[in-house]
Amino acid sequence: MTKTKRFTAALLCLFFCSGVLAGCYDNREIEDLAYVIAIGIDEAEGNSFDLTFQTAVPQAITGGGGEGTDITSYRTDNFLSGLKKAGQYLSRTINLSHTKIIVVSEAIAQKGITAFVNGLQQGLQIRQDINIIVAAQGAKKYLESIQPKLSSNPSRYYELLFKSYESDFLVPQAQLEDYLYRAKNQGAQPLAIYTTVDKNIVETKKPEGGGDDGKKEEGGEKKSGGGSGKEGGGQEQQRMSLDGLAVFKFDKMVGRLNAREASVFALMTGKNNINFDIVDPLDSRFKVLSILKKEKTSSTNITFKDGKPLISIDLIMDINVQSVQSDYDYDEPGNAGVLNRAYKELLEKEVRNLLQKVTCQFKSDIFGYGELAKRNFVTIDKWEKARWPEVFPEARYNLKLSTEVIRHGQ
Amino acid sequence: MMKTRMTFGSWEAITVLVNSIFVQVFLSFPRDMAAYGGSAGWMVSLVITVVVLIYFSISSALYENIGSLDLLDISERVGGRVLKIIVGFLITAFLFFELTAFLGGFSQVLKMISLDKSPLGFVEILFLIGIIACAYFGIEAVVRINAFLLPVVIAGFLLITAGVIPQMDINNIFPVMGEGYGSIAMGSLYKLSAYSSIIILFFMIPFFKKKYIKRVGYMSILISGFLLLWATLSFLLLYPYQIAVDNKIPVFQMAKHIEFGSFLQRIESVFVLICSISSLLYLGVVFTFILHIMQKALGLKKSKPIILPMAVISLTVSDILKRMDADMVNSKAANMIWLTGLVLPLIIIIFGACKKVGKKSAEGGGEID
Amino acid sequence: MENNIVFNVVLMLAAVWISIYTFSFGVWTWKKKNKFGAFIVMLIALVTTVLPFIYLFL
Repeated sequence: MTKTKRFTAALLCLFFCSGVLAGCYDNREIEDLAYVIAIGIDEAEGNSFDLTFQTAVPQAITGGGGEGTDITSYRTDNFLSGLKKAGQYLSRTINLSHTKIIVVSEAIAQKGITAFVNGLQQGLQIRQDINIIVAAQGAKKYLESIQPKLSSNPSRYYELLFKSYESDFLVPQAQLEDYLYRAKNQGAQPLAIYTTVDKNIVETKKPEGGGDDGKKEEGGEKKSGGGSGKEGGGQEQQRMSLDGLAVFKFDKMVGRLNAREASVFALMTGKNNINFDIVDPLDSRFKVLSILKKEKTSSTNITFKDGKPLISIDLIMDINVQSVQSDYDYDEPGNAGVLNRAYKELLEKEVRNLLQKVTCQFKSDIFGYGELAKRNFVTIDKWEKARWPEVFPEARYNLKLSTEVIRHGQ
Repeated sequence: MMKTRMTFGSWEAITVLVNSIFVQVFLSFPRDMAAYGGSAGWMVSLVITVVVLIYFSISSALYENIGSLDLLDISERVGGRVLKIIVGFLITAFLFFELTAFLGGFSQVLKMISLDKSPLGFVEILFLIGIIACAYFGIEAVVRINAFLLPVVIAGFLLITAGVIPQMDINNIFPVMGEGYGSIAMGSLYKLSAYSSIIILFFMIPFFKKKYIKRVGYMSILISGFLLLWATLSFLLLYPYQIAVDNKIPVFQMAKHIEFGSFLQRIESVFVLICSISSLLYLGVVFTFILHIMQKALGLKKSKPIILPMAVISLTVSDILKRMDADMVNSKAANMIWLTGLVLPLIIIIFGACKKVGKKSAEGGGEID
Repeated sequence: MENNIVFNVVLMLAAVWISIYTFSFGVWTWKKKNKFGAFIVMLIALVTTVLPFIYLFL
């Protein structure tokens, strides 16, 4: 073969490979896809349920104006046919690769959600770090209440939302992958984020057409929509916010932890620093806000005595004071000592209450102590015979808590 | 015109063997380990590596009396042309089924993760074009490309496994003995098939110097053993065994976990790249050696004319096996068939060593170009 | 459906062409006094036609 022929053959091969291997057969234009950001599941009559999809509107996100998301509900008795219906309605292919949350109503959570999420996670599209949320007022209402003001990108909104809760009680165990594992196995029980109406948030909308500024905007007409005439007045809207964790036993919701309890839970089990406030021990009118950090040397050990688990928890906390409303200086050694004792007392009380609630009331090992208890068994067979979910409610705790207030300049 | 003897070095040979064994990590090897051993699945990969090391030490010791002959040469010296042809057919059939099984397997993986809208036949044809090209270029070219690309593949794989280290949980490998001694032993027996591609080593011997046999063998087994162990261990540390057994493409699922900040996300594309490269290299090597063995066994002057018909037959057989729903990669029956790759060479080598066939001929037998 | 049959026929023609080419190699090998090798090559040529036919049309 001459040099020219070889070169031509190589060039043709290159062009062919570049074309074919770029996957041109599989091209998928963004305009052909409907990116679902959030999925909601509500109860409906009979065996049906309402499937709500919050899909991103790419045009609005890129500054084209309009709502950044579109929310539509479909009634169906089967998740896969619900997806198909949505695709037909939107005349696009549903794409779940950017889904950030799955919201279920409390009624559905109490009946069990594995059947829904099983169908979802079979495909490779969906990511395993999706958060599962239980909405007290219903999934659709929760999704409709989401109106990102500071971000046009709904996907980014959810990412930032969860990031902002990392220092409160957001835990990875409330994600899809962990939920599915915990729902089917005995080492730990599932969790989800709980959301409800937050009466502490009141949003005010600007009144329409009101005010006599007399200023005309350039090139525009002054709108006089016959407003109410109330100056400075507006409409109040109630907002929902993440308010703790929903506790499950296998697949069914058995209770909830409020935000405070959820923060204690996150402190005990997570790696993030947690915001924790306390009544000022030197002036009960005010509060002290600190960031609590669990030291890496904290440990938990589980042994068995007379067939019952004995859980030894050794928590070592560092307290970084962030904000003090009173005039007391907690950098002073004396005051720091007082604060330290106050935090220690409070934390011990709250941890014991949480353990009591989870062990005796919910009887659900959301802490995952079963995963540690496995170390006491040699084979899987012996571990499964131990029947941890039945044995866990009889657990006894040995709690050792030590705290240290970190003073600035120390 | 002076004819040149085709040779390549020990490093090239090592990379070919390592890729042939390691490539299974991209299918379901870690998941199979979890299925057999539970939380102790990593022990299964360790046990099979140790067993194969013992196997190779026996084989290499026996090779002292054989020299640089490959399995066909040994068979010819032991039982004449008839035995050579029989052994040639057996090994060709074995490698052929390995090729068709993995051609289907890798095509399905690529279709699932990347080319999901393409028909499966289209994906298989893409692979086929690659392996036909490998066969036309010849053994030396294929082997040298392995030496060049395998470090890239391994680097990509290590990147993926290193990226999930923050999410690993040591509790996932408890209970420490997993499904128990019996399951681990049984699993080890079935999954010895992971090393069935070591049969290729016994056909590469004439291409490199005799003194490198042990080095090539031990290094290949140790490197691939480490990679198989690390793949299984990292997978089990990331996923509890209960969900590990449900994972379709383990390393791909691991890659999906990687997330460092807002910029390092969705690393799955690295997996697509390394999986494609590794599978193409592996299938190319197997196909090239099938043709080499056929040519040698049948005494053909050239092997290029049978490239296309063999490619067509392998594609058709792969599709027929799929139609029959025959699982030729993961099923227990298939695993027992793959053990042929270990048992058959050992039998031939034993006969060859007993007859001291190596003492009769001069060293070397590599293909003349 | 009709497109499928046309496509199958095209594939079959390609397989037949390859088969003929391989058969000719078998004949050449026979002339080189390697009868057994030639026989196997011709068998491969036959299988190259038969197997795709079974898969595509039966």
